[in-house]
Amino acid sequence: MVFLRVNYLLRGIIWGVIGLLLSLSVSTLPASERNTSLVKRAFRDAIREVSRSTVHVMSDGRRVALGAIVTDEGHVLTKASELDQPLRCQLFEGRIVDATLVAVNEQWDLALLRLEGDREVTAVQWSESESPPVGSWLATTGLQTLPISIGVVSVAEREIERRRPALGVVLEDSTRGPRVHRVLENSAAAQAGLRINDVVTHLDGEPMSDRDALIDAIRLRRPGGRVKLSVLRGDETLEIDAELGEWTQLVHGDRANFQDNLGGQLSNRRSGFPSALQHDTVLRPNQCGGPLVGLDGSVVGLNIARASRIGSYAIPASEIPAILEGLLAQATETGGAELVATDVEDTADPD
Amino acid sequence: MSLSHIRGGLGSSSPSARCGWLLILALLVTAFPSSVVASESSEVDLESIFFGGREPQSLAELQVMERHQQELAKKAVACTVGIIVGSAHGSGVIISPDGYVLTAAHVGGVPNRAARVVLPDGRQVRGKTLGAYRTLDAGLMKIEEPGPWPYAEMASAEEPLRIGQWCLVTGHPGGYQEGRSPVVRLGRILLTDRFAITTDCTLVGGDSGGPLFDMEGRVIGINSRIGRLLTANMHVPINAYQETWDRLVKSEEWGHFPGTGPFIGVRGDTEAATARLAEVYPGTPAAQAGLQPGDVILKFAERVVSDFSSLQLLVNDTQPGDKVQIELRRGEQELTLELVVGQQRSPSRLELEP
Repeated sequence: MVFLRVNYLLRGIIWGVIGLLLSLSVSTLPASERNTSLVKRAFRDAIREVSRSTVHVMSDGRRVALGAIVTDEGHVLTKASELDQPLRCQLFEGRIVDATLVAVNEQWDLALLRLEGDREVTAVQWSESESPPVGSWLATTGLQTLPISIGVVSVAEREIERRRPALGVVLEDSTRGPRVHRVLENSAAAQAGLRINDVVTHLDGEPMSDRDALIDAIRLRRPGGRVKLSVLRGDETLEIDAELGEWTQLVHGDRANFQDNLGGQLSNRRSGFPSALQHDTVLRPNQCGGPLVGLDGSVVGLNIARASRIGSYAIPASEIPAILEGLLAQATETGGAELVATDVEDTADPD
Repeated sequence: MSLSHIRGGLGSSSPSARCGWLLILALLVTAFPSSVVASESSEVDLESIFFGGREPQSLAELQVMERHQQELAKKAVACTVGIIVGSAHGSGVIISPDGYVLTAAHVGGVPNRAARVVLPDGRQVRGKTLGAYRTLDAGLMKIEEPGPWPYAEMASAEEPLRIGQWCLVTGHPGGYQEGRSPVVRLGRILLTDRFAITTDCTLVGGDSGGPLFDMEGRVIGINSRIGRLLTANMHVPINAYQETWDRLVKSEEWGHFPGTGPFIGVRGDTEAATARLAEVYPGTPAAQAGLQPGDVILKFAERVVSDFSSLQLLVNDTQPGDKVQIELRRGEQELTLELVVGQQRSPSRLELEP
């Protein structure tokens, strides 16, 4: 019993020391990081106006993206591939209102929403100057007076090529159509249950005459996109759903993406943008879609993807007016009625 | 000293390149109190933010920081290179006009291998790997084509780094990509010790070997490895290169990568004056060789062992896989055993994929 007590005493001391270390690390370490509220506070005056034009986009009660109010009639621009019906938006003053998806630009992964009802909103002003040079400060606004995250420009505007999608099969031609010769391990095809000798007759309802036709059709999709395969297996006809993988990951294994995933989740759609500004702001996927602000208070871009451990992408402000014009025209044509968010992911890239 | 070697190199540089840097440094040093700052707000003390580790307090301070960051980013990018050795892609930084390139030891691999050095404009030149100090992950290379090359200075070893000090990283995350210049990130120093500088400048595979700059554009570290958190980005301290410069230039390779060194699997009895084992861990090389708690080690690899710390030094001097003789006393008996040295496996920190 005496020993036990000594043990308890020792344990007490050990926990005391651990507690001290923890408190030390809590009090000293985070204070010296870049992204602390102390540093963010200095950005308050730069983002004051833009925060009021920022919204949280919610699907089914979940926060899925940020958005920017882009017209005084209550249109909101946001990241398309994160959306799911039904949509609502939370505004700066705290109110939550219903929103309708009225237009989509798949190439830029942008969606235009319309807030329901008449309310007083102010559109963001897109910067008319050139994008800020590498090293410039950037703030990402939320619904608070402090930015949700800050960073600097890492790379000047450039095209972000689309990552190559992969189904993960080796195909051969047969009289009945493209036939599966081999299914690669850990591939989209393996997960979907595709088997050797299956013949793929249709992709999303489109007939596939031969191997090349199927390969070309897959290449037009994106990693993470869903496809419906019509498959002949012996005498049976099956419908198989598959979520496309990524080619480099399939070829080089998980190591290719492993390190990029250290430190947080990435956006599902994070490649294939005609132009983007790369910056080192740490964002979660559901913090994309909103305004990116320079020190002069102008909106220099719209965050479009959390791309890797080290970077995020923003669509440069100079591109937005033309895209917006197209979306508004599209909204008028269709009235928005037929659009459902699930179409967004599955639409093939036109180019 | 070793440093004179580098300084000598700088002294013989072409006047234009050298003047370029002097001019830049002069700008960096004098710009704040005079031209830039005076026009806006003579109150902004950049030194206390960038080097003192203070947070900016106002938009005005952020603006002065920003102008400085934009200038620094240009210079930093100009001397950052991509490195291709075999199938491995990494980064590096030119630190002399004649083309010495600092990188990480795990990028170069072994000395005297042919490498391609990719300049920021995409042009590729021939290079060669030189020495590698694996324990700290410090590696040296040389561009084999005539310079002069744009370069950055190394920070002086006498100037201590401060927690909270601001810093800037460049490199080629994911490997060199055509059409993308070296990628700039800004952060602060979170921890420093003999083995590494830890910052919140985020790194990923491909950044290995790229430079960590202080806010005057001097190289203070080289990107090396990461942990799971976004705040766990480790850089080789610059004095690892300065202290071993002559060996690196002579293409020596020594030491072990962190977490991969030799080990045998014993714990010493700290109260004993001799190398008496307190514990032999099951499944380790020591256990397989037949060592037991209480054994007193007399000789390891034919060298005399006086106490446990001398045994540790001798083990560190071997390579994993080496076969060594161990002479020991067990009670009244003296025995000789054979042991195959094992390799540590420490999963705590991830070396950046090249």
